[in-house]
Formats: sequence, structure tokens, C-alpha cells
Amino acid sequence: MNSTLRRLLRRKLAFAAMLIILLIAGAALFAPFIAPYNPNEQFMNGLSVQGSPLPPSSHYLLGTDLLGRDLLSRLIYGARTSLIIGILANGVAVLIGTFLGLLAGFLRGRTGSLIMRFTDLMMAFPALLLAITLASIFSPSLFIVALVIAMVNWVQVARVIYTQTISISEREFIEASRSLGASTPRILFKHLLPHLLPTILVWATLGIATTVLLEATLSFLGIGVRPPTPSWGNIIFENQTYFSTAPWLVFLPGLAIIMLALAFNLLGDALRDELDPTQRGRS
Amino acid sequence: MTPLLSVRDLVKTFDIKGKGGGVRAVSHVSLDVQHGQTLGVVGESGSGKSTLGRLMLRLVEPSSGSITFDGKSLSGLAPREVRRHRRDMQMIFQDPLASLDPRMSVRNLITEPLVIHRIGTNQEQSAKVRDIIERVGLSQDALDRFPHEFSGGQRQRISIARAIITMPKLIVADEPVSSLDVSIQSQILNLMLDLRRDLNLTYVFISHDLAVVQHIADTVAVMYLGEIVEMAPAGEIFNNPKHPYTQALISAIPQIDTGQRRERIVLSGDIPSPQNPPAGCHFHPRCPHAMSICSQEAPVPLVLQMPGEALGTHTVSCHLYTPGSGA
Repeated sequence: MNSTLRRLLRRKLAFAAMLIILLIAGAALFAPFIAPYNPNEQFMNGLSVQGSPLPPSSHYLLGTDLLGRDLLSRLIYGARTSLIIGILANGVAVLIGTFLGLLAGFLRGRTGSLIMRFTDLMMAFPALLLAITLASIFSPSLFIVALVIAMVNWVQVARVIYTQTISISEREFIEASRSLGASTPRILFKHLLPHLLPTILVWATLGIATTVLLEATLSFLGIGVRPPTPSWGNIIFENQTYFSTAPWLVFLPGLAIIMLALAFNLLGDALRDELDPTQRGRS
Repeated sequence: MTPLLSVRDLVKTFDIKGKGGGVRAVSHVSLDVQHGQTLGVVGESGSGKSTLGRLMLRLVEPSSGSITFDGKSLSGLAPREVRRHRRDMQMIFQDPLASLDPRMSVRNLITEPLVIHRIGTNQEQSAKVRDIIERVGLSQDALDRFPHEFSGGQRQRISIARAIITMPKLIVADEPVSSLDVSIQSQILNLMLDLRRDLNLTYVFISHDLAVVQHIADTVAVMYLGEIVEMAPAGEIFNNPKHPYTQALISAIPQIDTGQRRERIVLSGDIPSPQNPPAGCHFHPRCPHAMSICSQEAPVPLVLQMPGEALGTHTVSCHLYTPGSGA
């Protein structure tokens, strides 16, 4: 694993991606020390005379939002929410999806189709509606929001892992290890899972972007992260009415989401290539 | 002496979804494989020879019939029990690139059978792996590389190393040299012959290539549409083929011109669909000697009298021969 890390560092893009992730994680971790102001404090001088948000200045580095709060501080604290939601919700979704997809693809038969019919049912159901229903049943907190998102997002992962599992288990090396006398758990964990890893990694990183966006949507509808707690999603939605007059209020948190998603994607890509011995060392 | 492997009346029918019935890939096959011998199984693609090989190892569940391996009945065992026996019976596949996990190093690939069957300590295992890799003609530094870094012949050597490391009694080789160049084919065949001698192995060698089978087999079984139509010692099959299908196959082996012309029997048509095999003798639509009885009655295996009994028996399923006719 250590040598994998070393090879990853040698890839420029992967290195940049890790830097960005570290930066965001650092901001989230040390928010109280880095943020110039309390993210929830509405400043008397935080709005213009007409009552509109202030553009970036030396006082408020990234300007203020519609309630006169410091945008930089809100972004730094928002990194906490977005990272926790992004990693936790997506992680749980990938875990559930991988487990069910692998199970259905390996067992096939009646059990397999039962699992997949259930997955299709969940997929046919509008994701947002489901999330709203679930969120209104449980009182919203950060972790509940994360779980709600996971309950909605595992479906696509399960589908992809299911088809992948079927195609890989048809390959001859699986039969070969069976002919050696390998047990089912061994085939699952030593032969199938390593080949599913690229797919899992891509979803684990790609999904973070959609997760952060779904959280933003839920926050906007009032069933996500409760205001005034900032998240990158709800900063965008709170300020969208000022899009024409104060575009930085939407643009900057959007950029933060994109950077986070991109960084995880690049890292996932590089990791996938490094873990495949036939691809190793090419970039 | 009891045979190492004996199958009786083995049948495998694959169901087809949505339709009644199914494809009978292997139909009432009975044969014995003696200790230290090589049984060659030949036939066109679709003749069921690969399925037969997999049935022998119970990689495919038989529909009916019995398999006895080393005195024990395999067909009655639970899957867990069969797994324990796998160290004594291994398989070599046609395409080594497909049958070797591309994400595992050669060391892990060759060690895997030992790990699965918990043979030896870590040190003993790595010593064994180092020993076996040289035995199959590869160097030590091959161990830390991956399958895609090798040529086809080298990859097949890795497959062979994997198959022999548990010191099995039986190896079923399914077209082990068919994906290789002719020059490499003979190297691999010679390696297999050396290993058979040194490790006292027994082979079931499946191939569509009669020239290859001629080189390695002691006994040859000819399959057509899931049935064995003729089985005899290799010398008999090649010098004295009885079944019209075998005769056609033998006549198709390319030969160095020795002056005497040999008549080439060209079969018309393709192998019929096993889903709907012809009535009577399955071969009759393509047979140059077809008679009226051939389309009505399936021939039964007939043991022919041979001059030298010690050679083994010559069995043929064809209406051209009647009980009492000599080989």
C-alpha cells in the first residue's frame, strides 16, 4: 500500500487532487481557527445601504451573503457539512449497493432476481420524493440527512455492481479457481472483489459530487441541513435570488463543490489505474 | 487394476430458458482412465468434449450417471466434499490469459492451490513454488511478474505449474495447446509428457487436433454430438479407424508426402444442432456409408475383437459392424 501511495504521488493530477482534498479537509477540521468570523453572525456593516450583499473587499475577503454574514467563514464551516455528507452518505450508499449487487450477481437465481426487482422498484421511484418522505419521517440532523441520501443513492451502485459481477463471474479465471477447490468466500473476496474495485472506486468518488448536490437540494427544501448551519449546497440556494447582482455568492460555493468532486474523481481514476497491474505506471 | 477415473452412463442436459427440453451436451458416456495413462478426447467444436472434461471434475453437475475417482464416488458427494478432492484432480484451460487472474502475481497464482488446501507452512509453500517454477521451465524472477507480461507458451507453463503444485493424480487438460504456435505446442506437449513421467500423472487430454492427440495419448475417444462413437488404443485409432467419422477425421490430418496418396474423405455439412439431433445414428446425414437402418436405429457400442488383447479394447458405435466382426 505504501508503494501505491508513492506511485500516486508521482502522478501530477493525483498529487494535485490529494492536495485539494487535504486543503478542504484541513479547512473543515480547523474551521474555528481559520475562519475570520463566526459564520452565523450577521454584521451591522455586512450589507450595503440598499440592503444587498457586499462584494469582496479587504474586510470581507469573499464578500457577504444576503443576511450580511461573511461568505468565507460560511464556506469554511460549510466544508464540514459537505465533507461529512459527501463521504458518509456516499460511503454508505456504495457499501449497500456493492453488497446487494455482489450478492445478486453471484447468487443469481431467485434470490438474485428478487434483490434486483427491489432495486428496480427503488430506481423507478423518484429519488427526491423518496428522500423527502424519508426525511420528513425522521427529524433532520446531519447524520439522518446522510442516511437518507444513502438510502436513495445505493440503487445505481447496486445495478452497476450487479452487471459487473455477472460479467466477471463468467470469466474463465473464476472457473479456474473453482477447479482449484476455492471456496465461495475466497472467490468472492480474492477474485471478484479486486476486479470490482475500479467500479467501486469510480462510484465512491463520482458519487460524492451528486451527493453534495442532493444535500443542497434537500437543504433548500428545508429538510436537509438546518439553517443557519452552513453547507455548500444551502449557501447556493439561500443566495440564488442575488445571482444577477452578487454572482460570487453562487459561483464560489459552486466552485468549491466542483473542486471537491473533481479532486475525488481524479484521485479515484489514478487509484484505479494504480491498482490494476496491467495499467500500472501509465498515465 | 482399478482405473483412476471411471464414468458410467454420464448425461448432461443443459436447459434452455423458455423452451421445453434442452441441449444434450453429453449423452450416455462411459469410459475408464487408467493410472499413468493419457486419454485423448477428440471431436469437433460442439461435440461435448469440453463438457465431458468438466463433468469428470464435477465442475459441471451431471444430469445423471456416475463418476468414480480413485475408488470413491464423486457424483454422490456434497460440493464441500468435492472441493477437498480437488487437490487430487486439476484442470488446465485452453486460454491461459483468460484462466489466470490478471490481478495476481505469478507467485500468488501458483501459491493459491497450496493456500486453498492448507498445504505446508509459509516457508514450505514458497520453497515449493520456487521449485515448481523451474520445473515448468521458467526462472525465479518470473514469480514477481503478472500474467500479461508473458508470452502464450510461458503463460501455459504458469497454468501447468498451478495445476501440478498440489501433486494431483489426475489432470484434465482442455485444449491446452490450441491457442499456441505450432513450435510452442510441441514444447508444452513435451513438458506435459515429462511431468507425467516424473510425477506419475494421469491425463485426460481434450483436443480437436488429432495430430496433437497422436503425440500424447495412449487411448483415444472420438466424440460426435455428445456421444463417444469410437474408442481404442491410440495406435488402433490412427492405423485402423473403424467408424466412418473417425476415418474422415484421420484422413484430414496433414501429412508429409511419402509418395503414397491417401484418400481424403470430405464430410459435407456441419455438425447438426445438439438441440435437435438426427434420429437413429447422429452421424447418418453426413456419413458416406449411410444405410436405411442408420436413420432409424441408434447403434450400440460394439467391442471389436483385436489380435493383441493386451493393447486394450476397440469399441465402435456403427451399424457397419456386427458382433463377431474382427478389428
